[in-house]
Amino acid sequence: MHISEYHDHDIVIMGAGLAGLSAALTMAEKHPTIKVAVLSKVHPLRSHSGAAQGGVNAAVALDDRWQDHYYDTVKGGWFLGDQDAVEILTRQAPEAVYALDRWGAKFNRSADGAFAQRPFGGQRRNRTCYVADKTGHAMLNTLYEQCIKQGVQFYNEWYVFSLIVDKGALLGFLGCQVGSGAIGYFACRAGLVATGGAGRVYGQSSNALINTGDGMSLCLRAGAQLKDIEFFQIHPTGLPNGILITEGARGEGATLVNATGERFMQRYAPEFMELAPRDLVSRAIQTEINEGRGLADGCVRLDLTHLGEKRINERLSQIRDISINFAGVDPVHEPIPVRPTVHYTMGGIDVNTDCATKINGLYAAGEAACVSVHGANRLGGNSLLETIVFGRRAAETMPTYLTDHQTPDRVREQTLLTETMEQFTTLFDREGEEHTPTLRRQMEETMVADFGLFREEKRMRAGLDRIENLAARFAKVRVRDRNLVFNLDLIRTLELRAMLDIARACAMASLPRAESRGSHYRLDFPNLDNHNFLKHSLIARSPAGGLTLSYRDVTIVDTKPLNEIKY
Amino acid sequence: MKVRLDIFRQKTAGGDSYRQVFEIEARPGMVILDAFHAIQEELDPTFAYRYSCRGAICGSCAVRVNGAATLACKTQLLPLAEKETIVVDPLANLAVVKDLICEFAPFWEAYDKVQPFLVREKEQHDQKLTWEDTMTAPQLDQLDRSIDCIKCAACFSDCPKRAADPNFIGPAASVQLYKFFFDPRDSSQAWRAGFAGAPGGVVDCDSHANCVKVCPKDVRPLRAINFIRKELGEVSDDRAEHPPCCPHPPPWVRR
Repeated sequence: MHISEYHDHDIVIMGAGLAGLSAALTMAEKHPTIKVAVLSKVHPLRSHSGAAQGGVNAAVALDDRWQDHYYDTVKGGWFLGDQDAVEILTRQAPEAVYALDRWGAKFNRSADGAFAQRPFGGQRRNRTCYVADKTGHAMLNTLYEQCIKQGVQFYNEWYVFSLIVDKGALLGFLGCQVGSGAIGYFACRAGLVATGGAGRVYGQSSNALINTGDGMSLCLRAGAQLKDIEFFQIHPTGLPNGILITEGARGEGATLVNATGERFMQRYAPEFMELAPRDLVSRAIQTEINEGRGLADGCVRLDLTHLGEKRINERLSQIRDISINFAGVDPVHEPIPVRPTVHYTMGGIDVNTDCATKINGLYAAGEAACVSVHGANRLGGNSLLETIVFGRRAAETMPTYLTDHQTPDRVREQTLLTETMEQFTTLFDREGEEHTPTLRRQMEETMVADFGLFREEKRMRAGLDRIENLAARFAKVRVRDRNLVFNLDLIRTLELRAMLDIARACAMASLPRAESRGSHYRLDFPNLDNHNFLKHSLIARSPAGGLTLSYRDVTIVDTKPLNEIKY
Repeated sequence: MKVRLDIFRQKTAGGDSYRQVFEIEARPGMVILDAFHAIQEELDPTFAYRYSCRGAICGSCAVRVNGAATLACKTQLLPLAEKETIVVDPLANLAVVKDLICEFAPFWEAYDKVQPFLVREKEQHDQKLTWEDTMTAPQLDQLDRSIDCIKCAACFSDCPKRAADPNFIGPAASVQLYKFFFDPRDSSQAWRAGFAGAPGGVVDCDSHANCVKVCPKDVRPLRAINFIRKELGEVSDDRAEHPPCCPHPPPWVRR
């Protein structure tokens, strides 16, 4: 196997979801002379951003203030969010939604024709702008349309399997064109990784099958760090097969009831009830199920029947379809079976507020990155927001980087490419008795059992051992499909390699955090410990594959962390 | 319960095609896409198909099942298997690359042709980002279904007009045109009307209404086409509101 295509761009963007597209679009509009390429392993419109349902937060109402959105976000993240980053997120939120309007997104309006806003978890007032319950789908299409208008250069169905980095600087991206099997190298002077989350390490989840943490793994292997990777959000309301039922349903007034018909959130979050932050609601639901108050199918019920058909059709039409198609239940007439489902990766590639990693020229944005704005738990509506705010921000900081820096030293580029191709050929040609789907399922089972909603030392220790063992067995996986054209076996094997990196990192970061904060909840340490753990975990990888853990303090600007979080 | 699928296979673009029958164990609730995963993971690792969200929103997994285009992720196995072997083919009107994977370039070309993006007057677009356009409920309602399209190409596949005339942009691209034709913020109406009324445009549609039948998101492309035709002063066809047969729309009717 050899590299048959060489491409040269100023900036390469890996990932064409909302963060990647908003960066590409903003650069095309404001810096048209910079040569940009967008690489995506699926057609951009297939990106998982399109599955986001509920809405995007912004303090646009005349009687709202970004400072209130800021505080709600900082508290919602259990004070693990960096306050300078949260200020950027919330202060620039109005501009982000107005930009989407300019670009053509068709937000719901209130009677006076201005943006309608619905209530969402963990926020003290309505500030979630929405497009029915298809906000992600609408935004993704809008950004893609405008990218077409601006002539953005797309390379679709390219699977990037390595970053090329030398002397602490990014040189380029090496990948495989899935449809033809051709290997191509994309040299660049700066790159943005916007590859989304890694929820598929848990198997069943709200995430698409493509959310395997590819970019996180590549950046880790290239010398960047993963921050707060122990924090995976488990969304309260997924269908039994994992598909999401948006928080927007609860925002419209849907209630959660157990087998006895009790609205049980009264006991867990008496003030915010169903709109308490997600980690709280998920643990409440799982506790009800664990203590025998779930229904026979192992779920509780999300009741929309009192909302009426008209309101459901206007604002929640997609989840009506989803519930009918995937659970056989019409929410107009019957409550929906729901249980917690793995949903979002708060942790990710360690970046600063300029989206920069510690590798020169390497940037990251969106769910793949961890700035951190979400801390230990993300509020609904803030992820769609993050993609636009930080995608646009990267589109400013990266051009500045290009102006301030020489092109990287490429003297070792060919050598590194040759070495990487040798490793890739070895992976493709090696014999072995291990089977990708088998290892994948065992990883998923371990993550669900040992790194889920309720964690504790013994289980996590055993889980870490099991995952390390799986990672060792990966060296003996054989790729059985020998045809390079649309080779799902090869792609899934590479995705498993990425997922094992993330699983190992998550396990390693989770064990020492002897407290409960946000989505990291421990039966053996159920209390918040700001004295010892108001800090971010950082995982780094040595070239030999060993992981090391270190910590960095949270940036506090003006908001003193609470020692107890109540809703 | 054992289920048989008779699936189209082809190793490379332009290569010979053949058919392969697979038998798998099906549980209640399994969909065609689950069957594909079972085949690739346990029976034949060379089997290829597109997928991503498995929740009917990304548009990746459209294939033909028993002759009609549908999403593999939302088509239940057991009700189909009760009759007999399930026949699976790639989408029509697109060249096959491998197994159930088609070359989508003609579909995207049709989409690109309609100027598939909001066009604002430059001054409007460059205004400070401190306010939004107001839009009224009737204006929003008019655009309603057009934003639902997931570009899965089920309609494109099963459109007899597209099969007969590769110059016709097809139903999905027509919906994309509609989306901006009726958007009060768009300033490109004259161009869009001209495009729609020219050969290859919306007026070429022969009103077969297959698009309405097969669309997994109930977008009803023919209805959008008829609205455009009315605007252009063309004769419209009332079959869009009462298409001959609609297995896919949900059991309730919106508005």
